[in-house]
Amino acid sequence: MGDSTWVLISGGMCAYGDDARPREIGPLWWTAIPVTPRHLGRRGAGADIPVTGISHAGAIAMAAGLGGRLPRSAEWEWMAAGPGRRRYPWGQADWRPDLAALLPGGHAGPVPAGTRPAGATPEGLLDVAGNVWEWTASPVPCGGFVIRGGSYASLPLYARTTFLNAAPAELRSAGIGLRVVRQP
Amino acid sequence: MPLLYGGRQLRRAARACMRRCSAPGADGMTWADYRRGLDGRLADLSAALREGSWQPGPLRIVAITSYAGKCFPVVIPTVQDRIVHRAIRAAAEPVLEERALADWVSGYRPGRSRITAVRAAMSCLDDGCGAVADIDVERATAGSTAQEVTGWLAAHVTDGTFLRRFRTALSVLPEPLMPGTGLCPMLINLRLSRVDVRLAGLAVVRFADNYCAFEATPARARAAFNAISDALAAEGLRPNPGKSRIRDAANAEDLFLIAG
Repeated sequence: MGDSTWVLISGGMCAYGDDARPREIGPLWWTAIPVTPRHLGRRGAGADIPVTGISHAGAIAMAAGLGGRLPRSAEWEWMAAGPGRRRYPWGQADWRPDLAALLPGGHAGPVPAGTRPAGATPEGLLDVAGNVWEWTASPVPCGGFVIRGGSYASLPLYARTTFLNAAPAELRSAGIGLRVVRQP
Repeated sequence: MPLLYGGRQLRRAARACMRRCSAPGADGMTWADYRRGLDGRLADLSAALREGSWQPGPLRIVAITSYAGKCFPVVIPTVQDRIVHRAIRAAAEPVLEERALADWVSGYRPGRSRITAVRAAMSCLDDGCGAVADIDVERATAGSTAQEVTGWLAAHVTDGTFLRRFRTALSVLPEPLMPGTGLCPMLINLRLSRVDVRLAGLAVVRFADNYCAFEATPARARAAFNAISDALAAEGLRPNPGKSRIRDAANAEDLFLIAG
C-alpha cells in the first residue's frame, strides 16, 4: 500500500459517546478508504469494492498484514466527528445519496470505495459513513466488538459519528469491512 | 415470600441499587441519605413488606430524549422503592427464566444481550432464511393495569402474598410498564412472553420489543409478519407501522437497532 492511501489525523481530546466522556487520542495514520482487494495487491473487477465477509479475527490479521491494526472505537469517533463533534463525517447536513451509500440509496451490496467525495471528512477520509460498517478493536460483552459507520444496508441514523453498533466477533457479513490505522 | 422481604434479600437489592449513581426520587432522598441508618431502614422495610403495610412513595416523572430524538416520560421512584423493585425482580426473574421465556428471547436477560440476538439472527440467515419479517411492537410499555399485570405474573408465580406486594408496587405507577422502574424490563418480557407462546413453528428471534422472523422468501416472510401481528393483536398489541417491515434481504448487524 502506498503512502498516498494513508491520511494523518492529529491527536486531541475526544468527547466520546452520548455523555461526551473525554478520551485522549494520539495521532494516527488512517487508510483513506475501507480496505479493498486493491490494498491487498489484487486487480480487476471488484478490486475497489471494500473487503467484507470477514470475521473480527480475520480483520485483525488483515490489518496486521497491511502494517497496522484496527482502530479503537474512540479513535474511530475522533476521526469521524473531529473536535467539533460533527453529526456526520461531512458535517451537520442531513444525509443525501451523494454523501454516503446507505439503505435509502437502494444498493444491493457494497459500492466501489471512495466514489463519494462530497461525503469526505475535512481531512479527506472517504466512506466513513455508509458503504460498509468498520470493525473496531473495542470489545463488548457476550463476545462482540463495536462496529462503526453504517453500511449500504443501514439507516442514515446509524451513520452518525456517535452511533455505536456491535456484532458477534465471528460474524462474516456482507456489510462489515475494516479500516486500518498505524502509529506515526 | 421471604425471597422478597428477607433481610439478606433486601440488603442484596440495596447494594445492587447503590452500585449505580442515580438521582433522588420525589421525596428528595439520595442514596447517601439512605445509607445513614441503613440497617434500621431495611429492617423497617422488611417488616412493612411482611405485614403488608408497605406503600410505594411518590413518583418523580421526567422527560427523556432518546438517541433517535423521541421524547418520552420516565418515572423515578424513591430510592427505597427501587430496593423493593430490585428485590421483586430478583425473586421473580428466575421463575420467568424457567417457565416463561423462550430460548429465542434475548433482551433483559442474564447473560444475554443484543449480541446474542444478532448471533441467533446470523444463524437463521446462514440457514438460507434471508427474508425477514421485522416487527417493532408499538407502545409495548403502554396501557394495562396493576391487576392485569399481576394476573400475567400469577400464571407463573403462585405465592399470593408476593403477588399482592407486586400489585401494590405497580399500583402507584401511571402505567405499570412505564419506563424508569427496575421492573419495566422484566414486565416487557412478561407481557411479550404471552405473545411468544403463540409463535411456535416460526424461526423467530426477539430482542426487547423487536421480533424478527426469518424465512426463505419474501412471501413467506409476509405470512410470518401476519402471524406475529395476529399474536400481538390477541394481547391488545400491534406492530409499529413506521418501524415494521418485510426485509427482502438483511445483514444481521442491522437488526435489533433503535429506529430499525
